[in-house]
Amino acid sequence: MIAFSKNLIMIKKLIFIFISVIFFASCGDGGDDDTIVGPDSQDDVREVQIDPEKINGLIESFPSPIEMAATIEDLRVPYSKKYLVPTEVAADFDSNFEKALGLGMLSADLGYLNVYARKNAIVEYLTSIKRLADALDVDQFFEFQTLKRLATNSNNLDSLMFLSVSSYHDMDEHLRKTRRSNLSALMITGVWTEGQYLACRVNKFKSDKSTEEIIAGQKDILKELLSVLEFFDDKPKFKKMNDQFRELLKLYDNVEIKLVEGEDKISYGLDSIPVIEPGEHTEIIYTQEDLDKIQNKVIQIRNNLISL
Amino acid sequence: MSEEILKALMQLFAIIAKQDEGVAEQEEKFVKTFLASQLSKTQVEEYMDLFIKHSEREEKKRKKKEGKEDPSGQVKMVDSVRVMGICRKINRTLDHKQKVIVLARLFEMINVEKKLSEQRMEIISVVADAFNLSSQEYSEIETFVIEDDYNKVDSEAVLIINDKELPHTKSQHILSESLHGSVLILQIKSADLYFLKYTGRQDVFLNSTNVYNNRIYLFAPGSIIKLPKGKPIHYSDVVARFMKDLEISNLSFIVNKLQYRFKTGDIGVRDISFSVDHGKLVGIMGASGSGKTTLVNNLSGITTPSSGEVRINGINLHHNNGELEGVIGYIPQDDLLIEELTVFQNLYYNAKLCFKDKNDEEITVLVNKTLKDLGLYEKKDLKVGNAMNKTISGGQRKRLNIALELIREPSILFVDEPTSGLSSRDSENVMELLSELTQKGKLIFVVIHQPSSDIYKMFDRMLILDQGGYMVWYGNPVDAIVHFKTIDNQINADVGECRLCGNVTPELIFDIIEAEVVDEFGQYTEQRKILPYEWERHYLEGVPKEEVEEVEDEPPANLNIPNWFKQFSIFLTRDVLSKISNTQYIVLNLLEAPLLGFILAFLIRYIADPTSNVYIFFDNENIPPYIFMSIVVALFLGLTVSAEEIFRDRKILKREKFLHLSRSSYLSAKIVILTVISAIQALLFVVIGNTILGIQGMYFAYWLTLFSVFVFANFMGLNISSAFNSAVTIYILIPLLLIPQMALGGAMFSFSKLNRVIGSVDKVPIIADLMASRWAYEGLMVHQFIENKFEKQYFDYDQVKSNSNFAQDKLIPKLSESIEAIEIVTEENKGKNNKDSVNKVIEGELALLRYQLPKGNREILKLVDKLRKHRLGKGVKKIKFDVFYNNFDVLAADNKTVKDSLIIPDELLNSLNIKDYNIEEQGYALMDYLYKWKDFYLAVYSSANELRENLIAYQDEKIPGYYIKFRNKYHNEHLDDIVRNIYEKNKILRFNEKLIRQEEPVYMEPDDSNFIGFRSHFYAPHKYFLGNTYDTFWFNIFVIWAMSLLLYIPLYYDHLRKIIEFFGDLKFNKKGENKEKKQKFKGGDKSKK
Repeated sequence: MIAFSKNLIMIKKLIFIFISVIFFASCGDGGDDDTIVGPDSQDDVREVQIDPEKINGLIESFPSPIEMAATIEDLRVPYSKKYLVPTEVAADFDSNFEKALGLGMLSADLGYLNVYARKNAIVEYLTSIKRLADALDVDQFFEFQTLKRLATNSNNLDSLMFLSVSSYHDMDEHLRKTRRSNLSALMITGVWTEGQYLACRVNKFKSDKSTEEIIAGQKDILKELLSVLEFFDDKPKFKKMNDQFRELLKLYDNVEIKLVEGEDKISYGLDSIPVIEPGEHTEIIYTQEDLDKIQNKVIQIRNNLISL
Repeated sequence: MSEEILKALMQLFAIIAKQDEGVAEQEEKFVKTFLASQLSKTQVEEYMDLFIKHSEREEKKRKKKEGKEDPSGQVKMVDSVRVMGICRKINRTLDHKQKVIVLARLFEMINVEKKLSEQRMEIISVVADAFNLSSQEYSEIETFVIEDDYNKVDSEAVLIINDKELPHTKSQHILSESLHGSVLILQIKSADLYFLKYTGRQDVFLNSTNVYNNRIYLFAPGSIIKLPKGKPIHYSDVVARFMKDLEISNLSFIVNKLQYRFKTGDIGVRDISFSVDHGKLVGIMGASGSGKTTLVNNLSGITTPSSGEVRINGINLHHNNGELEGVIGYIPQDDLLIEELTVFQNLYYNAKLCFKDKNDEEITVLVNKTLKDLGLYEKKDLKVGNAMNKTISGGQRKRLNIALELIREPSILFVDEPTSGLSSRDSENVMELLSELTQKGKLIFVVIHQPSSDIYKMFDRMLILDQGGYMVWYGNPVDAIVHFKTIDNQINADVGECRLCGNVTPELIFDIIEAEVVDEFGQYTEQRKILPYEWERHYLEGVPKEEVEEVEDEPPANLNIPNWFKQFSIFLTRDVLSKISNTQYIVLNLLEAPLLGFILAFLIRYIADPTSNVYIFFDNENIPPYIFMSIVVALFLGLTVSAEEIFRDRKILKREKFLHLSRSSYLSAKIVILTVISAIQALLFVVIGNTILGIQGMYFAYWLTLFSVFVFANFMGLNISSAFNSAVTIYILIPLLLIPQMALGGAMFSFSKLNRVIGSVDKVPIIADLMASRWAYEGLMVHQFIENKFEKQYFDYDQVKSNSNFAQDKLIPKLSESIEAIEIVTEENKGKNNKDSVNKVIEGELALLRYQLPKGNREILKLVDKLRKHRLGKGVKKIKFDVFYNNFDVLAADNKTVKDSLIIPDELLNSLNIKDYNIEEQGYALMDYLYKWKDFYLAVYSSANELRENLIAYQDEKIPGYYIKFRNKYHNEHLDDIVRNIYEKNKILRFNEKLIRQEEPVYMEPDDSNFIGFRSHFYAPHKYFLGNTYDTFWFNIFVIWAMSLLLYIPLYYDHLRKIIEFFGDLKFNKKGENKEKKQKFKGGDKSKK
């Protein structure tokens, strides 16, 4: 009988352990966060109809991510990863608003990286872009595997540029086709802002006339961009962003862009090949003070955007 | 008899003898004869001296004192004291039986000269007192020894054998043929002893030795009295007379032409016929391979003979099982003990299973009594242990094994080699035990191998088998020796046992049976002198058969097994006790799971950001492997913990089958225990593992899944445990069972990229559907993805988004391509003469449209339905969700409008065949619908997208950073990637007429076209079965349990074992056949020589 009671104690112990583990488990279960359910009623989903011609015009007059970078290339400024949007930050973009914006920004960064042929960073940014594209359901236009292969094979950087530009356009087009022109606009905004930002950063590092002119010369483009963005002014996020761009536009008030007429000049280069310089060109008038203000504002806007 | 005892006895003899007139001549002669029967000649002298010395010394002393003291008729004080002293000495060393013998000898001595003085009687009475003999037995012995006239002996304890009618009624009587005087047999009940004396003057033999007039003989078990005329009287006959009152029920066991054929056609035993009644100890002997076990299996009803019958009280054993339930007991050669339990517990639980109407107290009393009877009472609280870790001796184990059956006292008992591996002392003890049982009217069959002379003589009947299953002898064991010796023409053939010592030589029988022919060079040939069938003929022709009258009574069954639940609870208690008494087992089982959980989780708790020290669940890429590994752990642990369960009990099970105990209650008890262990193990694993990895809010789901897998593995383990005969086989099998589970679990290899033979494009392959691991893994992955606190908020939006995106972006373009393909192929081949190949292309495309378009119709209706039911966005109440299409609100519109605008009508679908199809008619109409569909899906997509965005914006407004915080805590990116299959390049695949979606399977609802089919693609969010949809998690848990329960069927019927045995039998018998052939020439087992 002693054996029985011993066993009984053992069983009791087991039951105790079992119950305490269950207790522990149930306490730890569930977590302490309460989820927020949506508002009781949501507004009707309203589709913003933008005149397709308007946006198409905008796209065409817009610098593609790569063009922005190309100007930097000539300056021979040292490469700095600090200028780029960190991919960890991109991973934390939560809404489609940020994702589309981020997609544009990272595309511009990709252009910058292409210039410096930073293969590892290119793969890193491609991955990030792929994730954003995926979240926006436009990943089918983004041939990640091909791009990645091109990136790791240094001889194909030109093809990489070409492909990434074309997939950028495809994504943009698809967004508009699938009634998401807001995202398309955001993507363009992203590219423009990041390009402008990179130019500003580079210019701050090493001042250069041509860079300055590019920065200053964005007045009309900004205007056009805003005219599209203003369609979405009734959304808080857009409103907040647009307000900043409007402030930026104000800083451009003193900047004047003049079209100067003149005759085409033909000059002969080193190998006696004639080069035609168009006589008609734009002249951009700005003060250094304005430029500084613009530059600071651009940097500020961009930083605000990525920390949304 | 020890020296000491003999000395004590001599003193006792001396003291008694010298009373009155001193030692008489006859008395001295008696002592001498007595000693001669015990000792060698020289020693006789030595002890004789001792006897004389003692009696003379006494004489002298007395004579000295005589002058001073008055000689009186009283026994001297000194003598009494001395007698007491001697008796005390004797009491310490002799058991009750031996003491009775001593007393009988004392009476015998004084009876020699009939000097029955008061003093002498008084001393004997003192001895009897000291020996604690009852006065009744004392007087019975006294009368038996002293009284010559049988008429004056009238006691229940006496049996009289003579040729006269008995005048009085109390005594037992056996009528003999003419006999001078009577043979008297006295039963000493308390010691279970019989004494014999003969009052006549004829030649009466006891075990072939002469019985002298009026001498007292011990009538030992197995003895035979041979009278001058008539049948010899067996020990069992005598015992039967005395047992009459003991409620002995009559039994007849009649075997008629029993023959057993193996599946391969080889004969195991042939033409066995004999009959026997109750109270017999029947030995079965035979060389190895002669069919002893086969015979016992047939006689006990374990196997059914091919022909012939066994009748117990007229009831056919093999075709009338119900009536014979509990009549037969079987004690196999193997151990039937549960090692972890104590001696008492082993017997106690066994007894509980046999007697339902006895309460615990009664059973305890019964068990204690049985243990006392078997001399195991002192050991009752010792654990039985195993061969490696012995706590009780081999003899004690054997006795305990026998006790298991003994306690229930079956009327017919089969014992397989009870003495193998025991010392000769233990062997004799065990055999005496069985022999005593036969005296209580039991019929006991014992398979025995090389018995000693004493054991051989204990048997009442002996059955001898020869190679090939021939029965070459059935009858008295000593007569068997005579029979074989006679046929072998040996000297003294008619003498069964040694005339001097009474020993028999059973091994002689086999020497004779298997004797080989000697060739001219004196070498043994492999040819037998006498072949088995010849021996059989000798027996059949030369030996008169004993016929037993068939008894009509119902055979006495002593079995009252409890009902299912009671059995279950007994099995349960027994198993639990044996488990928890094994500390090592408990500790290992309790620690293994949490330890593995800790090791696994600790190893893979990975922080992705090299600059950070904060663990983020979202970034840990190891969560899917963790889920998979935990399932593998569950399979492994579940399998190993159960793999030996039944295997260890298989011998016990064989016996319990005899008791007709319920296998299902036995299994249920096992399953309950294993289930509890599994539940605890799964819990400990999950608590440790999930806590370390920060898997939040999922403890129950993980626990339930792993628990289910554990139980499934338990069932698998029980199946193999029940089927295989060795632990090694079982452990070799484990990888064979587990590797497919791992490979086809869905984690290691993608189901769409398996070998074509088993692969399937749109569903999980059937072979993988058989794996519990696949259901568990899918269930947990899907549950972890959908039901985590983060994704749960957005899943419905995500699903609508994903599905409508797929439809408008991948599916509809493919459908358009199909329609265009028809147009193109028709255009290109205009005027060309290859109509067949063109038609083939068209037919292919039309088949695709015929399959896909109705499916598309259904999906649109389902989507509309879903949107209307406000299923979009759990927690978002009163959502006003408008989808504009063709200027109407799809959600608000009535069904007819929806149908008219979006659903392709049946007439159009029906005309999608090569005969009716016209590009301009059906083709354009279809294109029209596809445009509409695309528009519809786009509208749904952008609405869902918008709603999701709005929700996130709202949440972010309330708590900034809400989305990311929840995502990092509850969602896992890598798992998300896997269930959305983002690495798949082909988002849509054409397979014959089907377009198969490869992207984001976790959002894709299963095919519900098959009412009873539940198979679906991997990572489906829901499962469709019998007209309902269920959450994948719960459905998969259900499937795992269903699989476990299905595994119960082969477990209950032991299918796996039967299959293995079926194949095994074929092999074994081939071997057996060869063996038999060989033996025909060789004539026997070499080992016998």
